[in-house]
Amino acid sequence: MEALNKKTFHFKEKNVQKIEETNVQPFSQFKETLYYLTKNKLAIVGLIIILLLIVMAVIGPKLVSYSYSDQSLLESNQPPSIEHWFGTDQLGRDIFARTWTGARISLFIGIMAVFIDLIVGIIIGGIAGLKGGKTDEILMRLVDILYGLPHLLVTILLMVVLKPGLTTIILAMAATGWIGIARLVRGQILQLKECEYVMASQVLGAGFYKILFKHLLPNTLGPIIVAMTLSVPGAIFAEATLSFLGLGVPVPLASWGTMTSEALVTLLTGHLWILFFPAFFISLTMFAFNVVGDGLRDALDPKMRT
Amino acid sequence: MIFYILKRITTALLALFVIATLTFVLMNLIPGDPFTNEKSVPEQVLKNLRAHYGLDQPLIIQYFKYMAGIMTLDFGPSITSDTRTVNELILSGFPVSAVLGIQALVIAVVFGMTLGIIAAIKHNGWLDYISMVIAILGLSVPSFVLSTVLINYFAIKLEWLPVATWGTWRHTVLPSLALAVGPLAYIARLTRSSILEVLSSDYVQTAVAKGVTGSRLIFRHILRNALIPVVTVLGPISAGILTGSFVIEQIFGIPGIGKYFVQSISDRDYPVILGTTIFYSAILILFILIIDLTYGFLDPRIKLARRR
Repeated sequence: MEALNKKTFHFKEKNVQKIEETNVQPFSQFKETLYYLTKNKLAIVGLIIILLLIVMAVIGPKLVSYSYSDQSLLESNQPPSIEHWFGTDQLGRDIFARTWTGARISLFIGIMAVFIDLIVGIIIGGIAGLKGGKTDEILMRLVDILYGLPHLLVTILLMVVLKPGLTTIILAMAATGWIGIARLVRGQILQLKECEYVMASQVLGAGFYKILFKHLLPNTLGPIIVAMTLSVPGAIFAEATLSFLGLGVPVPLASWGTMTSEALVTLLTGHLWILFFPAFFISLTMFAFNVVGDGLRDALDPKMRT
Repeated sequence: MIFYILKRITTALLALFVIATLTFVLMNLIPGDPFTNEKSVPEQVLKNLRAHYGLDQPLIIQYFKYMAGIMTLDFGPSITSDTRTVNELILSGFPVSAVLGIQALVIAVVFGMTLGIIAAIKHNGWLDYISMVIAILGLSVPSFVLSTVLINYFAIKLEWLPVATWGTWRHTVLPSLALAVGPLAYIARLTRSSILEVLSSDYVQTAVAKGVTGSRLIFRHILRNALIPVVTVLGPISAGILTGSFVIEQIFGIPGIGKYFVQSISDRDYPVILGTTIFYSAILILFILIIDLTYGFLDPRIKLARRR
């Protein structure tokens, strides 16, 4: 065996000193999260992309004189030009106008579906977690059963039955989307209920609602925000899949999914820009929400901060 | 343990019952029936058709007949295809869909785990960044976008592989890839983060301190524990592959169940919609049940009876 001397040992983590220094100032959780989020360059890029997409969804359709549904067969299948910035499709519709009208619809569906998921999920998960006992048992049995179903299949079935339209798509997606959030909220509340500070608060005489709003909900907020951010690309993807199967928003409305689906034939005709723009922006949006969600999760998780 | 297995099986059966009832109710909420569109058909013929398919009976009787059919694995006749029953459609489509799905699952698991392991071992190195960029791209690009890209380059421009349809193994390459990339990316990220977590745990530090290195450390100490989260997501991942196959089979013109399912939706062919939905759900529920039971055995820390 080698002789042991000072050189044999070294610090496993060289930045131990540094970590201690940065931890001197106490931050609020919000500030702390923000601090770690801004250090994540990819997440910042994602945030900027999301902001730009929202801005373009608002002003984009107004930047050109064409509407998303104006057809002009004389100008069909034109490549991108000064006249038509993203070119025109098979029916001579301006792809720039359609892309940003599609952005409105895709983003609106994605965000609204997740918002409804959130409300229903918090209510059901919250009740199950707080009440416990029989209520919890029954609600969770129900959730377990629904959780086992293929969600997109249920959404597709609902869309077959319901009249196509924006509201029905959002409702059909929310019909199964709340399940994940409900499980998450319940788990968080069960965990937090056992915490010492909740018990201390109870001992000091705090009422049910005070504990709920002051202690339980603020502490579940982090994981819920992460789950939300990561659900938006899922919802946008689901909408695109529905549109792709012909169950999306009715014509002549455009969503990125319907545009991609309609543009599939261009693989054979060679007018690939018709396919490129909607496909590119779906991917870009999903990318942006994914990296922001990841960044938020890392920022909220002390274990990831090494 | 036995109690837990029984409980899980009951839940699975209940889920199947719920989906069967739900599909039946939903299908009957649709105004009209598959024959409403055929305007040129005389009233008497319509009546006979409805009688033939049992659509003239009260709903509750239709429901019980239908449920009895499911119990005996008989999903009835297809309405749009005169000669074939739903069972025949499923039997002819399932082998195709299964080949596609299993290939995609294997590609996703093998390459996803490899990518994740490489990324974790070379943590913060350039290999790590490349793997994670691939993973994020894989998560962001929807399968139908990816398949169009694949078709455009590998089938149309390079002419290496067939554009569509089904036949030899060469036909299976592009659709399997398109279906696998999303789950692959997901598994890669999960493997990476779970290995990184295990790497910093006390027992790995102890093993390193004791002088365990190289492949022995990775395979014996790290992977065994790091892979449990990966096993747990196999259920949701197969669900994703299953629903993803609707779109992929549609794009590539593959005669699998997914294609029949999408076709039956636009044809309003109720028995086929009902049959394929229940078949899909049954397969998925069974798969998730098996996975749940397996990882209870894999990880002795998980006390099945107390799990939720």
